[in-house]
Amino acid sequence: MHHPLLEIKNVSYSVPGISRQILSQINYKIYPEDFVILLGSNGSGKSSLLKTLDRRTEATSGDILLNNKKIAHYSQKEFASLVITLTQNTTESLFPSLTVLENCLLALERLKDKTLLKQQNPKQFFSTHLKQFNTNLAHHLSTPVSVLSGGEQQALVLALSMLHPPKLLLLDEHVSALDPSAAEYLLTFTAKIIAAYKITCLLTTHNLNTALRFGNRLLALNNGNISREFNEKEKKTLTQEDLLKLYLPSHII
Amino acid sequence: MFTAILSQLFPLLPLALAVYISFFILRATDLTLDGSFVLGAAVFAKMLELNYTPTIAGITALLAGTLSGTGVALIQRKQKIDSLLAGILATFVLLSVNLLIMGRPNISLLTKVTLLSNGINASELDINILSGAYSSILCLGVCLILVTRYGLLLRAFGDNANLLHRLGKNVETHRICGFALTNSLAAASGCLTAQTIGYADIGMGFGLTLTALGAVILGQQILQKFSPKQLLHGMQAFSVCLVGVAFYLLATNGLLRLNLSPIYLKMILGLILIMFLRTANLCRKKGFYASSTT
Repeated sequence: MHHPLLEIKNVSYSVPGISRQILSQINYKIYPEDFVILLGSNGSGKSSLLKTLDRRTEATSGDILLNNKKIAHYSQKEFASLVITLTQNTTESLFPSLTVLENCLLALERLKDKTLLKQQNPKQFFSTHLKQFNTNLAHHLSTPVSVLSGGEQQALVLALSMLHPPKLLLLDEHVSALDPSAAEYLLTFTAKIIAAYKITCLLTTHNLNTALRFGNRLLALNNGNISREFNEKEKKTLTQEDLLKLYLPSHII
Repeated sequence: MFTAILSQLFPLLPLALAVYISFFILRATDLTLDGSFVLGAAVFAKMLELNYTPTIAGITALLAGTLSGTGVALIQRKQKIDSLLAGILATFVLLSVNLLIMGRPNISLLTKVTLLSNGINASELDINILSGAYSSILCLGVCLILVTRYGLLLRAFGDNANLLHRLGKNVETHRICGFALTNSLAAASGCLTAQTIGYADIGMGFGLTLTALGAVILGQQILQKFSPKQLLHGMQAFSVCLVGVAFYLLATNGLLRLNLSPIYLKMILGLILIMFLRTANLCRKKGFYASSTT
């Protein structure tokens, strides 16, 4: 058995002053190169769970271990090189008024090893890198990011995070703001990249189709609790109907 | 009129650059610059009075500005207090600090050997050339910093401080560096102004940040009209400030020439500023700022 990359131990989260428990007693282990689908309806706690995982919020109780070390014990620099989150809001992950090239240069700040910063020809290097993600981007190095289309921005965010592939990639419905064809393209592409770079990934979605097609494990979240877990074998035999049952609030079924 | 404008232009240039950096790069409404301007003048005047050499006095004035910038950045630490409020609070505190430093509301420098004059019989031309040299060297130096990797980090801080934090950078360090830089520029401005007009006065900074902001916005509008090509970022900052301050001074001196009663001066300037700020806002909606900061 491998050693888990990420271990979630009894994690609960609630907002002070509000009685509702947003996450209650979550326990889960994610192993290297897992691609876990986190399925849940709006308000099920998907995004809150991701936020506690990438330290945007702090769990009220419980521990989160990354490589057997509590995430709170990592320095910001170390943590930044290990974990990246992509959300549907690209302005969170980019410097909107800076150019594509400047965003690339800043993305390198995440690196511990600064050799990449001393590129002989940064423009050449970045345009080759960006070409793999979106051919348009390579021609727009001096364009301000805010002028790019939503699809291009999301592709750029992905490209920037792969300048130095993280150990753990958290995808918080990162394609849900895009039109269906762009979303489909980017999602397939993301899956390819994850496989190519051997990145461990956690993807949240409320789309059953996405949940079936991607990932090797599935986790269903309902009202802040894990309602079902499926391992690799079980997930392969899942059908849309099975998932639909999970999805509906329990009182309807 | 031309020499009058020149003698006001160069001392104000560092302040304009400070305003440019804090409003358009750090994206903070930093009113502390008013207080730091006086602080620079006060420290310089006091140091001369204590018989230090002008060079040491000038350097101390710059350091004092750095300190006040650090102070105001610390007040805002972790976004606990809004930058506007922090600036007002800091200016409030600086009023006492400046009085404490000077010991009285004003100190005359007319008979002193300063960085710009050797005492009583200095020619106005010499003063202007020297103040032009000091202020240009200082501003160009800062503009050079803006095009380096460090300048890029400062712009990144203003654009998306949260992301900078997630990239593993210490946001507070950049906040402190940015504010220390702008406030030491303001102090330099105060220091040069005191030497040009011949005294340091507790009320000399009043409303200057807003005035400089008006000038910078004016400069930006003019440059955008007449030079469609994007200049290198650092050069753009410098030329925007230079053009803006020059046009602003032309306007004020012109108004005074029209025999306008000084009672109306601030009101009319205020109205002109409102006009500039409103047109700037229109441009912001059209995405002007998005392209101007590249």
